[in-house]
Amino acid sequence: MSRSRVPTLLPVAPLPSQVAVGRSGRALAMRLRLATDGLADLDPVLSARVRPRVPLTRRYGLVALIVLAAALVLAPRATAATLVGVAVALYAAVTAHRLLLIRRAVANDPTVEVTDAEARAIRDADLPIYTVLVPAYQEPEVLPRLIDGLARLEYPADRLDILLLLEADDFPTIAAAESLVGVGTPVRIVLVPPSEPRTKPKACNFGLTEARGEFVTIYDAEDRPEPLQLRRAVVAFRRGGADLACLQARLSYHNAEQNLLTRWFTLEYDVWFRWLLPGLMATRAPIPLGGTSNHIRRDVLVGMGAWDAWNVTEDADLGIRLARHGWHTAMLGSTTYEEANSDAINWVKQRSRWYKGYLQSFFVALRRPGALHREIGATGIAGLVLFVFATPVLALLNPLFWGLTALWWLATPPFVAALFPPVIYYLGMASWMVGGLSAIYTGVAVARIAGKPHLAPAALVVPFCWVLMSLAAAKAVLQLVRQPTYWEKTTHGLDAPAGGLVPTLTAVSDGSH
Amino acid sequence: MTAVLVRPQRATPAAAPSRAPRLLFAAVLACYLAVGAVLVFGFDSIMEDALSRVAAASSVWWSADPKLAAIGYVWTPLPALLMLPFTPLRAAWPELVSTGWLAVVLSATAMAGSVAVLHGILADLAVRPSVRWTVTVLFALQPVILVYSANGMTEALLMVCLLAATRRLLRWAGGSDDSGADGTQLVVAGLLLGLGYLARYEAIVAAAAATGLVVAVSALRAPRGARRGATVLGDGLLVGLPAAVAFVVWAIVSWAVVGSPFEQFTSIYGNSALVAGGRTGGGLAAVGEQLLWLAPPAAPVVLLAVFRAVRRRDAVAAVPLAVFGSVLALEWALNVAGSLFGFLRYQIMVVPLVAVLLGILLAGGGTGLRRAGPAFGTAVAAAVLGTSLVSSAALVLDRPELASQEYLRVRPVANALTGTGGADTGANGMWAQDRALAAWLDGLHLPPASVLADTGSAFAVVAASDNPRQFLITSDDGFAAALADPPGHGIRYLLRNEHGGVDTVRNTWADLGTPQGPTWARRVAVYPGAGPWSYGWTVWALTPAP
Repeated sequence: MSRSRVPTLLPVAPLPSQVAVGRSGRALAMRLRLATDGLADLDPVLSARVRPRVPLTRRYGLVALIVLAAALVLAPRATAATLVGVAVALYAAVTAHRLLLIRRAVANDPTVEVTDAEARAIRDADLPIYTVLVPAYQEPEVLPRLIDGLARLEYPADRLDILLLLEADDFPTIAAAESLVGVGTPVRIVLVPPSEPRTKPKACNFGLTEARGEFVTIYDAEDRPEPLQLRRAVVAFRRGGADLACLQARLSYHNAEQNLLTRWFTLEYDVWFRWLLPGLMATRAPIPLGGTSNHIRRDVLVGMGAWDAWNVTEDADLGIRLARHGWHTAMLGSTTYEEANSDAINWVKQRSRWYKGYLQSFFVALRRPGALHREIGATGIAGLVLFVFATPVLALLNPLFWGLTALWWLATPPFVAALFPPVIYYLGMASWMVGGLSAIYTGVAVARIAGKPHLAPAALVVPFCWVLMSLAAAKAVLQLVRQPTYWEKTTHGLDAPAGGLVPTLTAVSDGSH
Repeated sequence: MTAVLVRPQRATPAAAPSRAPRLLFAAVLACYLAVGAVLVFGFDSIMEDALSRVAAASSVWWSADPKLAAIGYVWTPLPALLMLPFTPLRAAWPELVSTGWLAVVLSATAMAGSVAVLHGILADLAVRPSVRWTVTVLFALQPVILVYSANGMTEALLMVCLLAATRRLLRWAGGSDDSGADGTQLVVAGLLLGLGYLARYEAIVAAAAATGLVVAVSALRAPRGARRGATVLGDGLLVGLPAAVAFVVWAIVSWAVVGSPFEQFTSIYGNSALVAGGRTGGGLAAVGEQLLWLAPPAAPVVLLAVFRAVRRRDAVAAVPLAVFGSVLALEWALNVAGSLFGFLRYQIMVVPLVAVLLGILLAGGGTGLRRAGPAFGTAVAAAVLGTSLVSSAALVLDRPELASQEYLRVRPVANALTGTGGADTGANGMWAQDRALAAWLDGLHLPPASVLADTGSAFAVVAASDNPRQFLITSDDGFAAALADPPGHGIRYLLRNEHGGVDTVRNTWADLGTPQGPTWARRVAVYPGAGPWSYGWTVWALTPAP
């Protein structure tokens, strides 16, 4: 892609240093205000914060709905067939896009690899200060493992700026943290004043106001980062171009074998971080970042208005915003281990938040279509539609098409035939078969190639997982309409043994990063 | 335990220019198309299976009931699907379909691809350039290869898939690390084998054999530990799943559309029915003779390769033996069981097998005859493939009892080109009267679906007609009802096949024209067929009810 333009920043006013560390009074209120509404105040169009007056898009949306209703009444067959045709075309495009991304990633993986030797070669004195934000909420039981994991980071303690971000009214977690974090460790507790919206990005923004590092990263409370990851990021940044603003490490799950659900999600993460995101990277389309282990240059992060406190997938939103302003994101060859949701209900909640956030981020990006096109081009918009918009939407449409297919096979009612004129029918059948079969085969392939072949049998039955995804998508769309900024908190620690909590790290068994 | 196949990057002294494979493909394709053009336009030489597939692909667009299912479920879908986008061009150029030229373009392209892939295999094996080009050129000029590039049959399509899969499996087998990174080679090989199944059914045994080989090699290579079984299973799934899925999905689609999953065995047009009605081959003795003439040095080459594999304990030589050998073994087994005609083309895979094994034996970089210089290798290659060339030319030109299909088409051409021999045109020009029949029907300017014809044998007529919609063919929805009661379904003419080909019209209305037969039709034309191998037709006009 030859669209290498000079990356830009937003006009963010610098924060005076006394305010940055203020813990009371006006300084604290300013910090909180910045954390919550910093981006929205800077440019309301870029934030998912609900705006008081009815936006133009809502008016357009209403008009579109009326036109659609009229068309359905006046020419039901043609309208329905057209809608089905659009959906089928989207399915076909998404399937083809996915396969192209995988092919690209396998043929020429753009992930930045930094060997252990290279990572350790930098002298401590040459390492910059690194800020690590760790937001935690109502999870005192995972803190011991977290502190243990952070202690294993191979980075000089005097250059680590670890901020444990806790809500000021979350007393159990604060108590647990205070008992674990002693004076002299690089970890310090930051208490975020309770306010709405009570979201992770708001907490991170608050922590960011007093961050000192040249680079910033986020880890969740249950994460187990790879010890050399920070060093690798530094090397990769120093190697990268002036427009490299963000490095996304791979995420994986340490409890992959716990049950069928965790196996499915491990495979999904592997395909996502090994093939889909690197493939997307090569197309220079906006990359929806993962929730943690994204390493960002602090100056660029602040200059982007930091995270949007009103978006429930602030990581995806940030990735899109970075791309829109010309900043480049690369994949880092290092893996952080998270805890996979082993409970279906809990998983549906988490996934519905992701889907809701994807839709939020997409609609926010689409508020100024002309500007978006100038910034990321047609391929960028295509990537956004096929990757960010289509993921929840197709999950939502799946049950409808499954139902139509079942109805057709059982009863061949004529209205189904009317919905699928020949070209649409063949395209739909082809995408369904190719899409479904390739998803299974991709799962088997990633299991073997990522060194986890025992997960392959789970890949063979992955279609059943899609039912759960559809549930999550339905919940997401409902919540998007009723409670857009509600953050569905995921319960962690479900993988911990019922007895005591021994803070150990499981071996990185596949030998790769 | 497994010998290291030196990776091409390290072994090849100078990187071959990347244009060479493309130029090779283009040159070979041009050559095969030229041969095909001479055969098709000069001698009207096209095999019935090829013409039938073109007609099926054309019927998807140009029939009374246009639909994708017209490609049929007896044979595999890929050839017809590949020709599908091009058959509408018959509107501008009818000969594309009527002569079967489109099928020839497909087979020529596939065979040129086979040659290019073979060249790639030899390059991967670090075979010296002089040897590599000798093998490639002599392979491309093998008479059977030449014939099957230019006659529109699907052997070429299967061959290119199997050769491409072999290439990937060779890379995988030659690697020594087990990081799983070579899983991508298995994925591509698996997908190619699946594609091969959609090209010809025999690929399923190649896929099964390849899976077995991969499982065995993986089991030997995998380090002992908890994950060993899963690793081996994973490798097997990667290479075997696509073909297995292709098998199941095709069976399901066939069952959903025509009600039976394995039309090859159950349909009257399928292989089982055809063989039951015909004369099968002369057993293993005939097969042995065919192989001897086709590739005389095959046995010693295979034995040498097996010996080398056992001695060096590496799986490289086992790859082509598994992929091609399994297909050959299937043909032999079916032949012995009496389920197969003794056609020469069932042994065609011995040619690429010998070529690839030769490449392995002559490979550079420590896996071949190290002490031998380039001249020795070239001489060996020339000797092996040269002898095969001469002997298979003799087979095709002089041994009709072993190479019936090829002899009937190639011998007359050779005679005409060299000015020797009689006026016997063999099986060439056998469709002349089918085309005349089509022209006569076209002249009647009939409405759609008024001529009942079973495309099991009437494909040449349908392919040659300028008004294909006038026919009500086997794949059309109303065919069965119209066949049972032609007067009640608007049929104006019936085409009945008198000899050659499977025809449900003949089966159902054999008593037309006899005193005891139905009186609603009278015979209006007879087309006995241009040559001894042609199909014979009678045309019946339905008299309107009084």
